[in-house]
Amino acid sequence: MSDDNGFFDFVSACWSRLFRLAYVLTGDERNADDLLQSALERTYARWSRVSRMDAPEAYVRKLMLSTLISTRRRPGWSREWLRDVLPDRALPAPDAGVVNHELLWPLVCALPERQRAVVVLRYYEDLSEAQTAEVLGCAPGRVKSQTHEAMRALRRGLGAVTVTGKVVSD
Amino acid sequence: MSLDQELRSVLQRAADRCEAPLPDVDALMAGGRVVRHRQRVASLVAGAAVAAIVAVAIGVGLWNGQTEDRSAPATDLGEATSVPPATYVSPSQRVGQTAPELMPFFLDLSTGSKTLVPPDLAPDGVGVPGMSVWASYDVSPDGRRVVVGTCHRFFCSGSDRLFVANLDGTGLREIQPPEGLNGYRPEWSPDGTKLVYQLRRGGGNDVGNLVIQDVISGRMTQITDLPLHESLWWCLWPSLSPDGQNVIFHLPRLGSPTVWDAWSVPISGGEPTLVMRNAQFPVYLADGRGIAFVESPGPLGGPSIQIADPEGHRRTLVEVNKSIWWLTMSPDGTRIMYQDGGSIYVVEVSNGESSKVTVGESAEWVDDDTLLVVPNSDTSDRLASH
Repeated sequence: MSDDNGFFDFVSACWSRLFRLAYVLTGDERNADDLLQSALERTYARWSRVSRMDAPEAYVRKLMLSTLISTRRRPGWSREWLRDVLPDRALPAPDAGVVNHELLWPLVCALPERQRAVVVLRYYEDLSEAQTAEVLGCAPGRVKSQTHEAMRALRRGLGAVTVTGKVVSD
Repeated sequence: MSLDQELRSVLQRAADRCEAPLPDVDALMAGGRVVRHRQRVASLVAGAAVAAIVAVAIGVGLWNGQTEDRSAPATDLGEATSVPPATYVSPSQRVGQTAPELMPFFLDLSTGSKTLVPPDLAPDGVGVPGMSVWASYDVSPDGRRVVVGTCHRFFCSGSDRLFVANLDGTGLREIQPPEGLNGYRPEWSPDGTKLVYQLRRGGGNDVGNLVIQDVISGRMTQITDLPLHESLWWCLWPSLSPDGQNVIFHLPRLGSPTVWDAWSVPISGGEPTLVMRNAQFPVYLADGRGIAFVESPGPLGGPSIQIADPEGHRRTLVEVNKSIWWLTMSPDGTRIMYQDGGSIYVVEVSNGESSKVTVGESAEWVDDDTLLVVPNSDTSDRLASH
């Protein structure tokens, strides 16, 4: 790369990290690719300015999150799940009291975008409520309520599946 | 383990499981949204994705200069192919019985004058004798030749035929596709040396694939290997970029047959690239990077034309209450023709000023000031068959 002002190096260096973040945000590799490339396209368009920032990667991360949340407003966008194969059917937890990883991930993916974004920032990126609020551009109280809602939905989902599992196994 | 801890663990494990190769950053920088690369399932087999060169035929061999009774010339078959060569032949019969009100005409946009096309280019003139025929036209960039796609008006499928002729109606030749296949909705390349069209198994809902055909050598190259094999709405609407290097087309989304996305593929063939979701009838803008398209999350035809630039910015060019379809870009790239509710409109790309220029079913640009218009018919709604 001759005149990309370091964009190529930047993408090369942070692609893997950002892709993983995009994946846990979208729950789907194709949508992750879509989301990340969208953010990088927009980043490149402003690269002369972004490259002078202290943390260009944080800028991309923020773009991904805003894209994720804003696109939900478009009808149909978030309802599409592009998958090559059907997801595995959930199985009941083998041991009461132990959360089944195989159940939890689909439930995370099923969360509304904003709640999923909050969960990912809090539990994958390990950001505090204040930091999460800053990234999402909202009040810390909103992060707290969204986190609460998300955790309640996950618990409810885990409980429902467990009950279903017992019925089926009987 | 608490749910908090479980969440951390699950998210980390999910992230560790995924891996994606670094994209083509050069392309990303150059092409913006157009670079989105979708790994698609199975069907695009590694080497095969790049064009099964289906050698076909021959010599259109200059149809400037060849004789009518010339039999199929030698075919540059290249490597072995499973598709037999196509030949150019003269139509066996020309009927020329198209009713005057159904005759396509040239429309001069500056004066409003209309001139009927030569009888040999009328739908019945190039179609199947005795059948009610619908035709689409595309005039070569030099304005001398026209490629005509015809099919039966009531069941546009299986009877699709392609012809090329001089614009004055002389030199009519049929492009005969491989046995059992039909060519649909052809378009010239910007340099006038190639045609792009959809090659499909007529008579059903086969989607088929896009092919590029060199009009000099007759060599046909299949440029897609689409995973979608059948669809009630099967037309792909291919259109070439201004530099002639890429073909943009729309395709029903897998699993959502009434939702369309715009894709592009190089003329040399390869894995298509997703250009835009919920986009129908895509055409490239003059810069070859941005696109215009009909935005619609639903069936074919929609209420607005959108313009998208490579950075992903969008603006609404035209918004109406009816159903827009059939976009084509003027040769100079400044105007778009579209059909809406049985009328033909021309809209300025720069400012969205739209004018109704005539009534008609479809139209194509002959030059920057002339359209070739196919009149409306009172027969079945063609949209219903696509």
